[in-house]
Amino acid sequence: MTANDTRNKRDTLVVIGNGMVGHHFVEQFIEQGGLDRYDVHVFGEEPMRAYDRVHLSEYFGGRDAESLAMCEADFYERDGVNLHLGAQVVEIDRAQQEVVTAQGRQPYDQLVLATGSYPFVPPIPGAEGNSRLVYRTLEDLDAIRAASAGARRGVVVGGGLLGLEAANALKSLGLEAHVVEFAPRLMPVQLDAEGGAALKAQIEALGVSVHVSRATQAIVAGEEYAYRMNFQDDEFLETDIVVFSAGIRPQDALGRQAELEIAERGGVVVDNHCRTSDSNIFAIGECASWNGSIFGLVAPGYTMARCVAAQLAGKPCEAFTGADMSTKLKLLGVDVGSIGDAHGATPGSVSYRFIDEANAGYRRLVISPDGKQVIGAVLVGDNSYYDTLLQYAQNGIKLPQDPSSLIMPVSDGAPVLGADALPDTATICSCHNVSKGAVCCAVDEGCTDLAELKGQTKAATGCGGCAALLKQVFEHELTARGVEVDKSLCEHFPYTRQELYGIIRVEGIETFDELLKTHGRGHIGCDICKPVVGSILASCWNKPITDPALVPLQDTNDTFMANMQKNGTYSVVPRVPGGEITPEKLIVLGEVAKKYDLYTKITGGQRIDLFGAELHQLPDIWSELIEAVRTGHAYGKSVRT
Amino acid sequence: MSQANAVRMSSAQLAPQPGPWQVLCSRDDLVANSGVVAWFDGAQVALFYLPETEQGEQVFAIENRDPKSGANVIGRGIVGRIKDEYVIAAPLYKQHFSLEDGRCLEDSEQYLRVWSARLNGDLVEIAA
Amino acid sequence: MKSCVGSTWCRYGVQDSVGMSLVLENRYKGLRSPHKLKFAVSGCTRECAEAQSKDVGVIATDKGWNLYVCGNGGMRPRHAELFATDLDDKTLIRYIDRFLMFYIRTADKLQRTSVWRESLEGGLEYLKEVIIDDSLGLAEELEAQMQHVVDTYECEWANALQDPEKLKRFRTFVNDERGDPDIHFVKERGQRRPARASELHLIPVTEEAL
Ligand SMILES: Cc1cc2nc3c(=O)[nH]c(=O)nc-3n(C[C@H](O)[C@H](O)[C@H](O)COP(=O)(O)OP(=O)(O)OC[C@H]3O[C@@H](n4cnc5c(N)ncnc54)[C@H](O)[C@@H]3O)c2cc1C
Ligand code: SF4
Repeated sequence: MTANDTRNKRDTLVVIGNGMVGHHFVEQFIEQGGLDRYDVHVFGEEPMRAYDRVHLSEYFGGRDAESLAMCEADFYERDGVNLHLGAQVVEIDRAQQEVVTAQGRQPYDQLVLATGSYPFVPPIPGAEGNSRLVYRTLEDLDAIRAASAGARRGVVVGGGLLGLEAANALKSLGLEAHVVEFAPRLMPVQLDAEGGAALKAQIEALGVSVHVSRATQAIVAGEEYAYRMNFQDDEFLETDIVVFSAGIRPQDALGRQAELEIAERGGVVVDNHCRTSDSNIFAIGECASWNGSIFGLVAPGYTMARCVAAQLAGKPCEAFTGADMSTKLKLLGVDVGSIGDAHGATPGSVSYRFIDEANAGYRRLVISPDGKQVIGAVLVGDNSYYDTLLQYAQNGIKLPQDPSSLIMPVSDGAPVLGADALPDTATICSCHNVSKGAVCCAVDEGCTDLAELKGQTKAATGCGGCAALLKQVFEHELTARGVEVDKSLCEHFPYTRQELYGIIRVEGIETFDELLKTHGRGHIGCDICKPVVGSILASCWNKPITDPALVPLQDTNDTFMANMQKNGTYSVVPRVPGGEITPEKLIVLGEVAKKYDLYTKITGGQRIDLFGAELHQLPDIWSELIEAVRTGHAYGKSVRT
Repeated sequence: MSQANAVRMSSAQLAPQPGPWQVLCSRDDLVANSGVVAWFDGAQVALFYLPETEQGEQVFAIENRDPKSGANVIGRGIVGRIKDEYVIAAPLYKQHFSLEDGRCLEDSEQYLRVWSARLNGDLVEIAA
Repeated sequence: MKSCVGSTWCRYGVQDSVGMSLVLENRYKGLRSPHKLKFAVSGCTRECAEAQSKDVGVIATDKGWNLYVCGNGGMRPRHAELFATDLDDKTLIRYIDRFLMFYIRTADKLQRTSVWRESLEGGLEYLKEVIIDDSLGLAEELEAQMQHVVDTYECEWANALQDPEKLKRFRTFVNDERGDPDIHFVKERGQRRPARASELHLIPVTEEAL
């Protein structure tokens, strides 16, 4: 059979939505060998290929859209995969088995809906333009950035998880940020009254004003600011922009149009295998409603994606049977965690509470009516308790004698649940659904390196929240098998950095070669041990780092005494001690920057960073600077700002 | 395809050079246990000079473009040895490439082109 | 090093914070450590230089200087801890000498002071005993080691510029004069920045192939 014949016999799979879940689906589908059976067409309404929405706020923190992408640009360029961006699907024609876009029609054999959700904006008279912004996509953030130019104050409507993120974003754009919440507390879904109060106190201490129990009734023109938001009881708040974050709604418009079964509270109804009421159509992620619930988090969406990918690739799959909505986050730098039945809604449940008024800290532990298990928890101010509590809750681990010890402060940080107390079924990484059993398996198969383990199991490569737990379990399993946990720096030195420092000091060793010969193994070292030894030699003996014996030890920045940027050019940072500089010296800096066309930026450490110098320009630049200013050592692990 | 590749291909077509060994630069241009970069018919070649290996002195020639960042920076990485193989650690994202066959130790989808290279007296030569 | 203008200009300032930051920066400028080190000096407790987010933070008091250590901004923010109060200039420098050298001696690779401090058994109290009470009898040695680094400081740029052999590596290609032909910039807000992949089609390719 020729390649062409096989191609003709292939079916067509269409995926609508290229968000986080849609992308994870395609990735899993390819990994499971799905391309042997299908040609894939992915339609995404947004102009950018799938990006990490969870870290969307970092777009304001300096990350560009490209660095948020979920994959390399060429991921969707392989044979059998076609990505159509900026292409909204406007209709599903179930009779013809075709999807319709402005560009034309695309037949399908199987269809996956991954259209996510959209922000809900309550119908408030007067909300429009800059008083009706939302926070979900890169384009939304561009709109907020544009609107904030010249603005002084910004209000976020909605004090949930996303609302607080949005408030932080407004703050980072230099606006005076306010949060207006309809409920009597922040994060009403995840937190109880005391938790909400503690969070409010911490957030206000950070300079974000919080107004609870306020319902916005209309938005009108303001006097001091652009808009005035009118609340009940004649109260009002003026502002230049309003961002709505009042909840999300499943994007189920196509499901409704195609007359698929829709849940009462919205969302395309799916069964335990994510199948909709049409057996050729699946729905995954935030647009799907399972058992009457929508799951507004990444992990459950990924589980659905894996389930459907396996089915379509003809591999065994586990049913989707709901998901844990426990979360731990850092909101404006404040730790917040919520596990299971945070409100203690289970009849007969018993709670323990710990309240730290001095630091606005709060922890609550909810215990099952029989007093045997953790069924919920709330944490505000310190998430170091989270991992252990989650393991107790998820795995039904028997409580300690005094359950309150799980949330009481201890002098040595939070209590940790020994890795051996976890059952094999305990989930370590919920993003990629890796259990303790899977980690043990990998160790049994001979894995002795954490990086290798992550590569093999994918654990700790999603949100990264489980990295510490993974390491702990891994080391425990190694030790249990009599494998000594290797604290060596690398294959060349069976010592830690501290031990090497001692050796170098005490024996007065001055070169890498000498150290390798007397205390190391093998040949020439590697990129782990060379910079470490280079740095120790410099700390101890302070020989010029340009010394020919020292040059090969150093990272490129130390070698070329400048900071490499992502396109291979360097930035040059002269020393400006204490941030004090004479106009004459400032002019020298300006002249050099102008001559070499260097991008110029003031740093947080009160210095001036000149970007975009090519390698061969560095000596010329220094020789012109050096009469006025000296090296700032910004390239080294050394005293900087 | 990135622009860097486009340039490389078209100039390779412009200048097909026969003959196995060609002079690239002189011994003096090399830096011991570290890298420099040479221009070779439109390609950028990173040259790593190891004066003392088990086979005596050795020069490795490997493509200078880091596939992960798209920047031409491989020549400015740190040379090392991992599991009996000479490698270069890319300076931006620290992934390792074998100097012998150009494969990436961490990611099977990345690889670098390698050339045969040798020291011939004071000359550094490379086989196209 | 970050500092506020302090008593020289500011109506609240009680000490010359810029002067102190110059002394500290000039003292430690050549030091290499397991990871980068950030310093700040504020001229009064209003703390305009944000010294409490630094590895070493110094805040002026009526009677001298308060020393804070092991703070961190960035990804894992940590407030610096108050280490010693109302120090005179000399004692301040002595404690910082000892503190830095002890960190350099005992930290793991790429471990910032904040993480190092959290991994120290005995915590802040232990650190105070070692640095202030000299419980390990190390103080003199640490100071001498620091003094050696201070005395041997040399501007690395100047050192390289003096030696043509060292400048040899500062060439894009050892056998060609040109710069890297794949580096492209575009202008944004009046300055250059690296071109993104999607902008490269704007730049003619053919010229460079020749
Ligand atoms: C600021 C922010 C922070 C968050 N933080 C967290 C967190 O910390 N942890 C967590 O678990 N979750 C978090 N979330 C939620 C998480 O991002 C979502 O659960 C996840 O993105 C859902 O993925 P999805 O693919 O179902 O939907 P989406 O990512 O919304 O993707 C759906 C895509 O489908 C496209 N689409 C819709 N209709 C059509 C159509 N007709 N034709 C073509 N394309 C269409 C949309 O344009 C969109 O690109 C956060 C969300 C935001 C906004
Ligand atoms: S810290 Fe004190 S002295 Fe320094 S600028 Fe602020 S108010 Fe003035």
